[in-house]
Order: sequence, then structure tokens, then C-alpha cells
Amino acid sequence: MLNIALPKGRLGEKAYKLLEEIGYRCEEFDSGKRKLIFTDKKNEVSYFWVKPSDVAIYVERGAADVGVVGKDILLEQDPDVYELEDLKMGICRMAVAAKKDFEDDTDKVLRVATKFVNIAKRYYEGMGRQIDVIKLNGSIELAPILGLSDVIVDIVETGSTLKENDLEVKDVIFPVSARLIAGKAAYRFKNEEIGRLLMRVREVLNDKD
Amino acid sequence: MPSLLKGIERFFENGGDGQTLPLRLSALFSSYGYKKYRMSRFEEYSLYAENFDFLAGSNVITFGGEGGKLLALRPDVTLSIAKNTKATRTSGEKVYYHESVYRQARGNLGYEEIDQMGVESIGEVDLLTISEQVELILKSLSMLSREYSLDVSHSGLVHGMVSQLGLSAPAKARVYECIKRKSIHAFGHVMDREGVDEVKAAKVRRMIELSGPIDEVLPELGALIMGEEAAAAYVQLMALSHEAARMQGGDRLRVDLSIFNHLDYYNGVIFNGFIKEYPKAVVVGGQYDKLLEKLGKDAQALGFAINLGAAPAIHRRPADIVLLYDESDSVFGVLEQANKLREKGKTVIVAKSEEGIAAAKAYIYRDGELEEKR
Repeated sequence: MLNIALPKGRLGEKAYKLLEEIGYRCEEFDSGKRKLIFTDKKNEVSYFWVKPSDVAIYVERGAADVGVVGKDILLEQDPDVYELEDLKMGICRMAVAAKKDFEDDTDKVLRVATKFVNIAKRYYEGMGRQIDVIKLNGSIELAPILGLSDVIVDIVETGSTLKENDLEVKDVIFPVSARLIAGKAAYRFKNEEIGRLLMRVREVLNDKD
Repeated sequence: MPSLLKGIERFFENGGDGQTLPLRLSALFSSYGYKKYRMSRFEEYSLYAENFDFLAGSNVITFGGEGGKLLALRPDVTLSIAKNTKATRTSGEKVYYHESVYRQARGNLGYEEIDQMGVESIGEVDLLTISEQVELILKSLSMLSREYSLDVSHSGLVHGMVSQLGLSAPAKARVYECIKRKSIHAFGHVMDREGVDEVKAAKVRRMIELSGPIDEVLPELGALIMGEEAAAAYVQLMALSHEAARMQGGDRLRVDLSIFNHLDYYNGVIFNGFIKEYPKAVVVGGQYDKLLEKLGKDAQALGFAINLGAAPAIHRRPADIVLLYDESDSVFGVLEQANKLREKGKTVIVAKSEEGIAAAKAYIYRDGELEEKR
């Protein structure tokens, strides 16, 4: 039995479709239901439907053998897991954004609003820039509009939310996409199952290329 | 008396209640001639500041000591032993320890105290030293779980292979990260960006993927080896494989090159032990001659540490028998029957119902006799 943690939402649904395509179908799987665990004994698979930022924790702690998680979460949390494949879905960018007329005054401490505190700290440390990190949990775009911060560090997909709020991307930190991860003990004790899953995923990804 | 001894023996064989594990490990290490090493909980912070990378980024808990000295709650035992050892290549030292180490938990979630046991062999490290420690790890792991594996890797092999790619220092650091994460896709991006020779890149790529029993992986790994450093390391792994084949539990030995420690400190074989019940490595270790060199010592060193914090969950094994009674039964009779079973070496729980009790068999007490419950 392979235990797979999927992120709730669109990315999880896409990931499930990919896994279903390669033989990990779960008869009763329905992302719309309130149920959180779906098991298919015939296909020897169990899916856990968890908050996107929790997927890596489930895998790292051994509650799930493998999982699908965004590169943004991996770089923010730095979990002790294997990052086996880039699933090439959920593609977006981690970016610095600010009001269109924002001009950086390097003489001042830069106020940065973000959910991704570690990523923001590392990025500005690399530039030798002193920052004041403002940790927010949502509606990050609001911060520069209300003068709470100078810039934001956040995920940008199409950029339409930024545009609607008179903001724009000032710098791209790194590209983001979904990754297939595996727990370290699971990789040893379920090596064949995880190896088979990985091989099938790669076959589908190569076909799509 | 012999039956009591048999019971004690069996208690230990079954892992006791988890508290006995350190005693059993101590007995094991002592039987190989390792001497118990005790140390203070505190160490001068400068030792860790100078060797920060050895701690793999662990945050140290510090406080002010006498005379303005900055002290630290010990985050690691090996560094202290290495600092204090008087061993040389010709006059070795074998020690084991059972100590707590203190670290800041990841994600700023407070502090953690880790109950750790380990062994260090300082002096000369040859095939016998390595084989002996592999044997000790296998025996230790078998005390922790029925399902265990010991992964070995080699710093020289990984370093030697990566050196052949002719990369800049930052690109090399990215490649090591890819190896640790088993990220073939990210490795491919680095190779493309750096324009590395395809044949060489393909060999390292396959090396990253390899993971499995030592006798299956080594032949394939042999065909990938590039350069003298990797070749020498490979010969050492082959020799170890040959010896391990004759060890009890030797079939649990695997090769996985994703496990490697900081190359400024480690230079030889590396160990990671896993058990099915715990999500991360419960045993970590390896050869760390370079640390001793940094500390100005003329000796080689090999050691490993076991995270005993992983143990309690493992030792909740079921009792052999639950003996069921009710209030009308003779107390003396019930206790007498339970003791008869215990004298046969069985673990017996006396209870009114089976609810919440894990036991292999259930017996019902009836008028001085026991009847097996179906």
C-alpha cells in the first residue's frame, strides 16, 4: 500500500489525474467531499487530502510515503525528504512585486511583506540588503497598497491580481512547479513501489514533452 | 532461580520495556572492548563556532559562563570526544557514550533534547575497524526493529565522481544538493547550464539514482566509476561488501550515495541506519579523519550515533498472555497460575477484560485451572 499526500485544491486534482492515468486510480476519490482519506485496496493506494503547506510535513514524518508539493514550499520549509521529480504542473514564479511607481531607496531598511519568510530572508541576505520582514498569512498584495510594506515576496501565476491592484513584478526569485517527494525511510522500505511510481510518472512526462 | 533467570533473559530478548535498550547496547559495545566515555553537558561555544559545518547547521543553545566565557549546551558528542582524545595512529582509543544532546528544533519550534548512544574508534581505521562498526550497527538496529536496513555510502566516491565534472564551486554545491535530494531533474538543469560532457553527466546521474542491496548495486556502480579517488573508494566498498556478506544481518546492507556528510570533515565510508517504524535515519555515522586533522590530531576516526528517541514506540511489543479473571475468583489462585506461566518465561498480564491489552493469547481462570479463550 502506497500512501500519497496530495495538496487540497487545483494542484492536487491535477496531480491525482496524473496518478490515475498511470494506474493509481482510487474508486471513491472525490476532491469535493469532506472526507480526507481515500483508499483503493485493489490498486494498493491511499490518498490523503491535506493543506498544501502540510504535504512535506506528512511525508517527512512518515505519515505519507510520497507527496506532491510546490517548490516554493520545499524552499521555504527545507524538509528532510527526497525531491524525486519535477511534475511540470502548478507552474508559477516566486517574485518580488511592488507598486508600479516604487523606487528602491537603498539607504533605508526595506519592508518586505510575505508568507515566505525564509525565502525572503535568504534572497535579501544574498544581496547584502537589510530588511524588515512582515509575516502575513494572506492578501499579501494589500500590504504595499496600504503602506504596510515597500515590497512583497509572493507567488505570481498570471500576474492579473498584481495588475488589478496597480502592482508589478520587480524581480523573479525562482520558477515554481510541483514536485514529487518521498520520505527517506519509505524510500528504503517501499523502494520497489516508489521506484515503479516514479518510472511511470517519468514515462508520462516524457510523452508530454 | 533458573526460571527467574530465564524470565529476565527473555525480558531482555524482547527488548524489555524500552528502558533496557541502553543497557543492552552498553553490553554490546563493552563486549567489543569499547570503554564508556562520560562528559560534561557544557562545552565552550568556540568549539562549535569553529566547526559549525560539522553540526550540519544545527543551532547551538548558548549561555554566559564564569569569567564571561560563552558556553553551549552540547549539541554533539563526537566533537567533544575528538577534541579531548589523546589517541594517535599507533595508540588507538575505542569509546562509547550515552548522552543527551541539545539542539534548537527546526522551524524555531523550541529546543529538543536528544537521547543518543554511539561509539567512536580513534586511531587507525582499516577494513577491520569499518567491518566491526558495520557489525555493531547491524546488531544495534536488530535490537530496535525487525525491519531495518543499513545504507552505506563513501565521501571519496561522491567527491571523486563530482570532481570529474569540472564544475565551479557554486555549481558543485548545487550538484551535491541534487545528490542529497535525489533530484535527477535539477541535476540535469545544472549539467545543461554548465555544458558538462554528456557521458560523464550520465554516469553521475545514474550514481544518484542507484539505491539497493549492496551486492546488486556495487557491480553497476563499478561500471560508472571515474577517476582515482572514486576508484579507491569503490575498492573499499567492495571489500566491505565481501565482509558483510558473512555477517549476521549482512543482507540488510544497502548502497545509496545520497547519504553523505560535510566533505570538510568526512572522508571515507558513511552510514545511515533506518528502521521501518521511524521516518528518518536512526543511526548516522562515518569516517571523519578531516575533523581530527582540523583539531591538530594525528589519527583517523570512525563512529556512529543512535537516536534512542526513536526507540520507545518500537518496544511496545505485545505480552505473551493475558490472564482473565473475575471478582469471584481466588486471588491467590490467579496469582499462582500467572506466576507458573512467568516461570516458563512468558510475559503475563492479569486483567478483567482484554480491552486495550495487546497479547498473543488469552486464558480464562476457572476454579484453579486455565482455559484458553478462543
